[in-house]
Amino acid sequence: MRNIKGHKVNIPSLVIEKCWGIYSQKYEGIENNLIDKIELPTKNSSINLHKTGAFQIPISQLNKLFKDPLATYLISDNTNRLVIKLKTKVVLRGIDYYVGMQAISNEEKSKIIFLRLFDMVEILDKVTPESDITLYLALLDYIRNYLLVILYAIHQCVRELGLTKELKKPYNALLELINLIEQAYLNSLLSGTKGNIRAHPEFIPWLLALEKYLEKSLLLVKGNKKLAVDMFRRIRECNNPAKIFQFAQSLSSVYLPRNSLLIGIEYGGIELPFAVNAFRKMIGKSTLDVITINLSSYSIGSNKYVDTIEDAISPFVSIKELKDYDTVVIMDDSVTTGRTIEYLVNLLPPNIKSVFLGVVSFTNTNRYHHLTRFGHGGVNPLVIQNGIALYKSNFTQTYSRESYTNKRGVFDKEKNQIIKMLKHVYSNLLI
Amino acid sequence: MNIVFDFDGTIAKSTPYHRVAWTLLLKTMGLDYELDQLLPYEGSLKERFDSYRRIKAGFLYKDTRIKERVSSYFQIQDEDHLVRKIMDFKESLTVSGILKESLPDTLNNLGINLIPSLHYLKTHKAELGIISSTRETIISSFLYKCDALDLFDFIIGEESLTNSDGILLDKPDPYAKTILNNRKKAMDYYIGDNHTIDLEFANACGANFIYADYKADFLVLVEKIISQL
Repeated sequence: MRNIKGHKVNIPSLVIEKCWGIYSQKYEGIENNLIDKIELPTKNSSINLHKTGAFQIPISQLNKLFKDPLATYLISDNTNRLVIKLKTKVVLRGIDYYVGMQAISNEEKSKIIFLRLFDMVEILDKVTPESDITLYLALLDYIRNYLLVILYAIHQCVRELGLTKELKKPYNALLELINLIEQAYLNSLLSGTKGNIRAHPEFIPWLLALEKYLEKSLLLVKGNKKLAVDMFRRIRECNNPAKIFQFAQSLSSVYLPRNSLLIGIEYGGIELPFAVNAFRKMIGKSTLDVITINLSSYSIGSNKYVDTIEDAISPFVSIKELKDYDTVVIMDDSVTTGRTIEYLVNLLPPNIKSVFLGVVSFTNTNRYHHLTRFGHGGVNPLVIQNGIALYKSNFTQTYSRESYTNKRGVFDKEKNQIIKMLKHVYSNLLI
Repeated sequence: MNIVFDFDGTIAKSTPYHRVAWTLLLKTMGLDYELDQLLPYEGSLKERFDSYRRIKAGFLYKDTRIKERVSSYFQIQDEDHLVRKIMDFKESLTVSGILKESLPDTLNNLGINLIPSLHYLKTHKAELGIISSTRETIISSFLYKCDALDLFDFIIGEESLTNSDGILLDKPDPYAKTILNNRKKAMDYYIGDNHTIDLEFANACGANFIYADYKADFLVLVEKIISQL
């Protein structure tokens, strides 16, 4: 990884268009070196992933599962909302994983999230050495998913309503819990065995405080329709455990000075800095400070980019704190035009001397119309080469400058698969 | 009427961009040298800075410590590959420098009255192009910044002048003529700032040579061309 600060991140659309032969070759060169196969790090062959990124168990294995609270909670759940039972397998992400997809109010979504979260934290404490490893990973997957959904919702509310003193402690507890779960999750993914994480009950009061805060805030922000729609995101991009593990591993192997700051771009990249820190801890490196950034301003009721770094950083961090760093690592799920990254780089204070970039996925050769659309452009290939990019992205081939999708209206293949599956199983529950 | 321009020193005072990018590259790689120590001025190259021959001489053959440093930076040993990597890096810095610069500064480096003269030529149905050994991405970025990119019907730069064996067939080699033919383009006039190389190139391609550099008033020049028709 090398500093990208001297390089322009976004190359204008007209330049991309005129030099498409050259840029597509450069992009192709990068894409040829990306990882083709998505593989879990563990040698435990009983752990399998569905194509949507969820853990899965073959139907034939259901009878062999050890009957404990974990199996009862996930598999014998009568509501069928936690898992999807297909003909040959059980997919361990049901409609309650994708709460944002449900056709209910934000208040109801919040209730489901916290109810499930409290249940799951309790179940986590009942995991025994005999418990099934895939179900254990699915439980951690659910918990971390809810924690990240909550983290994002709280950021949205605080950006709109301002920070209250009472929120700081529960917020810090939330971050601590995310770190803990992320460590357990990556550890188990690597070892193929269950970890021994306990002491969760102490988090319950803090989570309750956050639930109360959200309950109150949701009422206050009801008038802001854009914010209300965006409060609980439907699907998190790059939510494949194998990809996240690989990303965390790659980034952790890079030397970073102590005064480095890990920045995750919301929402697709919100988990990445936590995953990197978890991996760093696993290999005996010190953890680094983390912030997440949102470059859309909902408080003004539009999706326009924000003007200052203060508008973008997680509302619990002050601009003064950014003065403590001279290196940042920007992380996102994917990069296409590079506009978001460039915008962020330009907002960073002058004390930041080194900017590194890590993205999980990248593919631009199939996005000609997207890149050459007025005002869009494409990412500078050298910026990708100087950073870390691991997988090909899930984006479809474009066919016109008027649309980001392919002819069938699909933009992200993985998201499309998730939506198709959910529609098939829960048609009446979705937005 | 097909009018083709040289880029460096002719339509653009481009040396500052190349110099800044090279200097930044040296700094980034931790090479404690002045640019002129590694890429000394060569009169015959005029405004053109980049040349694989010169880069090899300066970065790979001058001092083993420099080569080691560059080689370790890119994690590459092969010399040709290394030179291409250096050029890619420098290309990105040049493009970045142009695109990040303020518009008045960029326009200050554009040939005098170039844009109105290009519009004037367009009204006379002229086909306009650029043939230069500089990379097309750099030329395009500069012209984009000056809002002149769409005025050119084609740009043939280093990338197009490199044959399938990876050999750059630079001016005055008439290889560009083959490219023009393949693209069904033609060149009646070649306008450049080098009395030796550009003249020889124009002759080899069967085009008329017109001398001009960025300090010339392009409206006056174009007026002359039109009046000769």
